[in-house]
Amino acid sequence: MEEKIIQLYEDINYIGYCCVYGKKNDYVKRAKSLIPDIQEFVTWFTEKNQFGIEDTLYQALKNNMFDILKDCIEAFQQEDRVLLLDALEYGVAEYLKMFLPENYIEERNK
Amino acid sequence: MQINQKKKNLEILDRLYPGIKKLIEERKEELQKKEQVKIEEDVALNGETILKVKKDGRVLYLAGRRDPAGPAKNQIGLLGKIEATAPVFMIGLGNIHYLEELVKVADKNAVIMIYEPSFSIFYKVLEQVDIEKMFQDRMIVLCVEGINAEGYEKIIMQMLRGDRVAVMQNFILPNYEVLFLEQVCAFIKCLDKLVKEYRMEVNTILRYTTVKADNIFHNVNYIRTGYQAIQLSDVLPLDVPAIVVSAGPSLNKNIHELKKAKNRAFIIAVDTAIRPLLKEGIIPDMFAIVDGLKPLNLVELEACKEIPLITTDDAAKAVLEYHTGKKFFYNQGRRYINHLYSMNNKIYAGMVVGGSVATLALALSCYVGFQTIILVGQDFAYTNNKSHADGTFKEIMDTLDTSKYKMVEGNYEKEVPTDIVLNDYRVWFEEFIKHWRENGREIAVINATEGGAKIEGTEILALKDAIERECTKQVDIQSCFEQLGPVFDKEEQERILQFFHETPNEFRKVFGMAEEGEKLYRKLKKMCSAKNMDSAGYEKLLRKIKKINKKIESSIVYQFIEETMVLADQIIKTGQYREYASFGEEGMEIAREGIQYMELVKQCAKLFENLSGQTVGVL
Repeated sequence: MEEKIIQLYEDINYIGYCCVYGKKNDYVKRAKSLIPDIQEFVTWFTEKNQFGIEDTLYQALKNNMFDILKDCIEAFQQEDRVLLLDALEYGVAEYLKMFLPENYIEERNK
Repeated sequence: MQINQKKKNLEILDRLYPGIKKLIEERKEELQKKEQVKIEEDVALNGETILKVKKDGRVLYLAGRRDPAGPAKNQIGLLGKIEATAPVFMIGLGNIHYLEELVKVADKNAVIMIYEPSFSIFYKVLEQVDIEKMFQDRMIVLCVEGINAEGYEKIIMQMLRGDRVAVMQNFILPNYEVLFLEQVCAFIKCLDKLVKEYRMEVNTILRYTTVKADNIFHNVNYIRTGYQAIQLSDVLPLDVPAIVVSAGPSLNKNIHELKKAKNRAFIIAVDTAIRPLLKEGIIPDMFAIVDGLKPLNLVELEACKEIPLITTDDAAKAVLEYHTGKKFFYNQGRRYINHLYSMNNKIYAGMVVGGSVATLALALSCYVGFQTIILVGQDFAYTNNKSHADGTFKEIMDTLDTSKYKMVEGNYEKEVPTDIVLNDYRVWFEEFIKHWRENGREIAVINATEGGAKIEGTEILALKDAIERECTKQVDIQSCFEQLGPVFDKEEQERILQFFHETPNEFRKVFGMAEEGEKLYRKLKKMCSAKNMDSAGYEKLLRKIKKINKKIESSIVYQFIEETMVLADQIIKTGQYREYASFGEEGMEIAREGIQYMELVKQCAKLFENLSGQTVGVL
């Protein structure tokens, strides 16, 4: 699962990069290709608390995740790249970061 | 609190753009109704109010719910360093973090233009932000659709002046391209057009300047043996009208009438009108040519050879060579040519002539002293969807699709199609006539162009009627010209010839000075790359460099080199906006640009030494 999480994290960053640096307007289209991987991750996370997180916190994280998904769905329906980028980069990606190897981001940014 | 913020913002905007507050209040309802968008608020997770727009059944956010500022930081980070005086174009105000990030990183002297395509968004934003804090003491131009966005093209043009295109930045807030596609596209197209025009101008100058120098070195001998424009006021009868004949499409309607004006007026034609005139059996008293790239075939007619010509020192050499009659010139501010006059203690009179043959012909008529001027074929428009009269470039000119052209008031039609260039020249005519009158010079200008765009300050009259009324006195224009002698006598012409022969040597001297300059810049480079820079030595060297640059620039032939080196100018100009961390860094950059510059000076000097050696050097 760790490999899939890393890949999804990189993919989310990459499509965001293409959107801003490449000045392309196909963010929603690119994000659609990530739906299966996002679904897989969300299912894995929300299935059960297998992470040793305190229960109240886990519930809060689950609810927040559902909020993020709600925004993703709305964004896909409206083809709203602002809402979608926000939900993926500042929503889903924050969850993914919790499961990345230690120092991954520092090493990556070097 | 929001209402108070809005009120405060409106006051501030009114101070910056007097009258805008009233305009906003007056147009508010009408614009909001027209836009058919609903601006709604949402609350981000950090408690910040963000906006979303409801339009055509869709709802799109202008800022994210989790991190409204994140994308703004990325976008502005992407721009890199924003140079001093760089123009920055931002489309959209709906997420204020973009402007916040921009003012954090942009140089204080960068000029920011914000184009907001939606009045509704702008009006909403007034409730949320503190304009005074946001704008600070920066130069921020705010254009809001429906309020003051009509003039943004002129503002963009001003912002891009000089060489600022090289340091320009622009971006569009996300979702604006979806919500306001038409307005965003129009803005980007305008920006793109102006950038292309600027680049084309630079490329044209670059392409043209060697042609120009070649023309000048060939034509300068005609200045030695020829005439200057102001001499005409001594010999021409000023109590008859001057008829300025241009080659607009309406010329075909009334060209035949000009036969009645021959020897009853001074007829001056633009180069393109020569063929149709000669075809009608009308020989003008003078014709004008200014274009350095004009093809000879336009005037390659036996009858044209002897017609007196008013022209420029850089006009097409082939035309001036073909033409054997009297040639008249005027002071265009070229040092090399002005020297021919100053060395002989003579005055070379200049004129404000605009940039075309038609403006030259009008200006000449005024400067010479004619009090009545009749304009013919001066359409400044695509009358009957044609650019020129039949018989000019083609026997029958092509019909164009002018449905998307700019429309202006016509002389006889309500509106006629035109373009930016023609319209600019029309405005030049209007301003010239106005200026002439404001300075106490009485002139009557009759527009006998039976079609085309209206020219303010002119009386509209059919050519037949204008000739009947004004051309009442008989005159012999040809004999007037025969009275004239060239500007320079034999001795003066000989003196000028010696000066011409020295020209290649002058370029050799400049080459030598540029070599010296290059050596100094290389020394500077070496000095600045040393660990411990000698700052006294640095300043001494800079003074020597300044001295040699001044010597080069004071050469009588330098202007040829300067005009050819547009590209070099670009190198230097773009560099001057950068800021450096240390003298060493600054010095290295000065040295790098200086070496490049001196190499270009040497190249040009060599080029012109050869060119002048084959032309003026062997006269």
